[in-house]
Amino acid sequence: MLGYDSFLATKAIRQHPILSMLMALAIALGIGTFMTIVTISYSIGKNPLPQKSDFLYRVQLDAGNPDRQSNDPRSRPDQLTYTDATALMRSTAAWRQSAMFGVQGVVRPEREALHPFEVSGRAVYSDFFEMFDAPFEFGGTWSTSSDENNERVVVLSSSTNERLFGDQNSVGEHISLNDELFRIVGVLDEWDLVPRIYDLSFSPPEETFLPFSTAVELEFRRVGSTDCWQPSPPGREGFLASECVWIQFWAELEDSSKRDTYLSFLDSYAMEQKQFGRFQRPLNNAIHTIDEWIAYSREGDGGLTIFAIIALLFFIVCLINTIGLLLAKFLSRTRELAIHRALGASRRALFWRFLVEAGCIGLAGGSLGLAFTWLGLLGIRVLLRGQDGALHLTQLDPLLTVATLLLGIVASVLTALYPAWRGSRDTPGVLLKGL
Amino acid sequence: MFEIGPILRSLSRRTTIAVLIATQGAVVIAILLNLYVGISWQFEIVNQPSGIDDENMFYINVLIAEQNLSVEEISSVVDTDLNHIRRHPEVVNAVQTISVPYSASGWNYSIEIDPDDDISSTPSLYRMIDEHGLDTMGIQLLAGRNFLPEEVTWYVPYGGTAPQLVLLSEQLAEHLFPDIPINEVVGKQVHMTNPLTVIGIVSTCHGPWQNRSGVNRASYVPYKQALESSTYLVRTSPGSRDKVIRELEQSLPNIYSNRLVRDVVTIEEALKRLYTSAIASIWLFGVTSAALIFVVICGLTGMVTFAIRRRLAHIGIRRALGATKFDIMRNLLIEYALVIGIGIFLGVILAVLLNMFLVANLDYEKLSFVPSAVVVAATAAISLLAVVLPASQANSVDPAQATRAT
Repeated sequence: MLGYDSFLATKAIRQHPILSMLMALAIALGIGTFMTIVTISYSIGKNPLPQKSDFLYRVQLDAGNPDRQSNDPRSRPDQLTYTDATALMRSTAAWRQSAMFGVQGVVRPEREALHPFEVSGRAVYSDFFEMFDAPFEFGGTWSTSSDENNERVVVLSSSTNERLFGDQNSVGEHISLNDELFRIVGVLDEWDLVPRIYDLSFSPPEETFLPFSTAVELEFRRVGSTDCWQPSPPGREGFLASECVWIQFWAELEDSSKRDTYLSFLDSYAMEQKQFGRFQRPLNNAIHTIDEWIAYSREGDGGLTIFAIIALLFFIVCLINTIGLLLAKFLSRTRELAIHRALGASRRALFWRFLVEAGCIGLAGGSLGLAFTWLGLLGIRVLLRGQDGALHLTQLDPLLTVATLLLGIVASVLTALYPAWRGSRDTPGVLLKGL
Repeated sequence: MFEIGPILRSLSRRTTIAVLIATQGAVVIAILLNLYVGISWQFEIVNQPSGIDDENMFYINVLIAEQNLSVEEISSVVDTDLNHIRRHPEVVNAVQTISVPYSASGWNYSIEIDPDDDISSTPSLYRMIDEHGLDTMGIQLLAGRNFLPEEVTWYVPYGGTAPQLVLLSEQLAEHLFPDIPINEVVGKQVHMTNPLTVIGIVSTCHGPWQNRSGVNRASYVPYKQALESSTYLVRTSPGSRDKVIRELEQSLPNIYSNRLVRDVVTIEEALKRLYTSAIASIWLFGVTSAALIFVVICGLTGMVTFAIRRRLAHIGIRRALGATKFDIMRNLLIEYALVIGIGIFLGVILAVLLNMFLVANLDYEKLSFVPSAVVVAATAAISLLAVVLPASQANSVDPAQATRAT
């Protein structure tokens, strides 16, 4: 039966080729715009470490300005002070934990032929690599005693290793980083972490990783934001003791049931600090899973939401359009259908035939919509050329590809329901009289 | 006169298509009006005047690779660099600074009149310049005076001598002292981490970010920086920018060998980089609007064609009874103008509601009356054109034939 329906459907489509094409085009444009924007917002919000969803938490402590009291939970700083980050690191409330900040360093290669070059770096604790599932090619992380003793140890990214040692296992070798000799303890494999969830940047992970305490001691140049609500006391010691926030802190818990326990630990830490005159605001600490953290950080970044609303409305226009066109199309064929009815086709059969026809148009529209999505993403990739993550954001996702096609078919069949019902409702006798 | 009665009766008998056309029109107007403000908003951002000589300027960022140099050693490297750059015959002037226009990196500092009163506190773009700064950037002194060489001190990490003097941009002066003319702001006290005396008011210069509010509120303090990383902003004589860049890339490492030239960016490049996403938005909005208009015209033409075709017999009878082609056309046009008009009316309401939502929740731009009216009028005109074509087609059918067709 479906075969015969499809035969009649293709025949009907060929009877009004331009109209059918316009309908497919309308669906395709709607889907193309909608899916382009959905793909981008999906990639931006995508959690690159879904396996860590229930375990990894970003920590926020509210050591903010007591003169600016506010009930807005967003008034708490994103980052931690040095005092708080190191205090949390001394506790054992979390299973794994790492305070961290971005740094820059200059590598002076031993080989004469190479000039000194700059590398990005991240000062972390030894648990960092396990927490963020960093893949090691050679070696591994440093020991906790390296953290405690400010040891000069470093983990290289695979590209840095290749640049310095040409893909050899360099574990045990030394490199000069900011004129200090560091022993290489590990080399990472290709690490595709987009976005880099620990700071939500779309740049690739850093080129070197070194112990937090070492980077602080050697005064590595920091990258990233520093926020102070009161002037920092003079000198470096003054800065470390200040209320300036510049450190990101992540904790990993054994399972999500420990979440409340950990949060109450943070609250009790804050209560304790109140005795020293710090944390003068009402308790407002928080921990966020990766997904929550992405959502929290993207809040207020309205650009994509606007696009999404507009794309959705556009899609609605296309659907209304399709309903109108299908209605027009079906109703213009009443005489042909009346003959079918008179020859014994049931109403239900006609109804089905309309739906099959609409489905065919929808499939065509969906496929064309997929092509438009691809074109749209390509266009955006060209426009964003040179921006970090442009390639990642404009990647057609397999799941979304299937969704696009399904959306095309489902939307056109759904929009066909009313026109098909109207078209199959007329009584054959009345219509045939007009012949 | 316009036979509104029969038109309304005819409409009430065929509501579905009319409802679809009106709904579609409403949603389209809501989208188009809001897309239009988005586009004009982004255009405004991209076309903001820079206040500087874009074409002949670039900045160069160098990094001293040596660790643990003393402040004196670093400052002598910076002074030697600056002398070297300024001595170049094709360099008009150069300055070591931060918050370079369009560079996407800079400092904000809160500035206030009274440190005990939070209300006046406003974020301002913070720039460190020496006495060459204004000339390099081409910023005009509107009142007061420039820094003197002996007033420029060294900014060192974690402190140093706090500056005592400050230049304010016109907009910052007006914001802080709204009630007095700007030349009277000269000599006033303002407060950052310490009290500062305003010695001059200067013209606008674009900030490092694409930020509309506060972009022009800038403060300038007499500082050179004794830091390992240092950015020099250079203005060259017209046309010789690229040549100067090549020569400085060669010669700067010779002055002090242990360093990296990290980044050399022309202001034009920086501008392009900074506005990448704004330009992408303009394209996305523009292409979306075009696609939308295309879809709507196709849909409208299609629906009207079929709706009229179903009424061919009716039209034929009217023609046979003496109605002229003009009468029929007028009738159809009034009928669809009514439908489209209702759609547009609902659309304007929907557009305003959508805009109110976007403004309240996503910090979007407000609709403005005149451009919105133009967009509405254009949409109405295009929609009517989409009706005229099928209507005139129906009109050209022979009445004798039309009455026979059902």
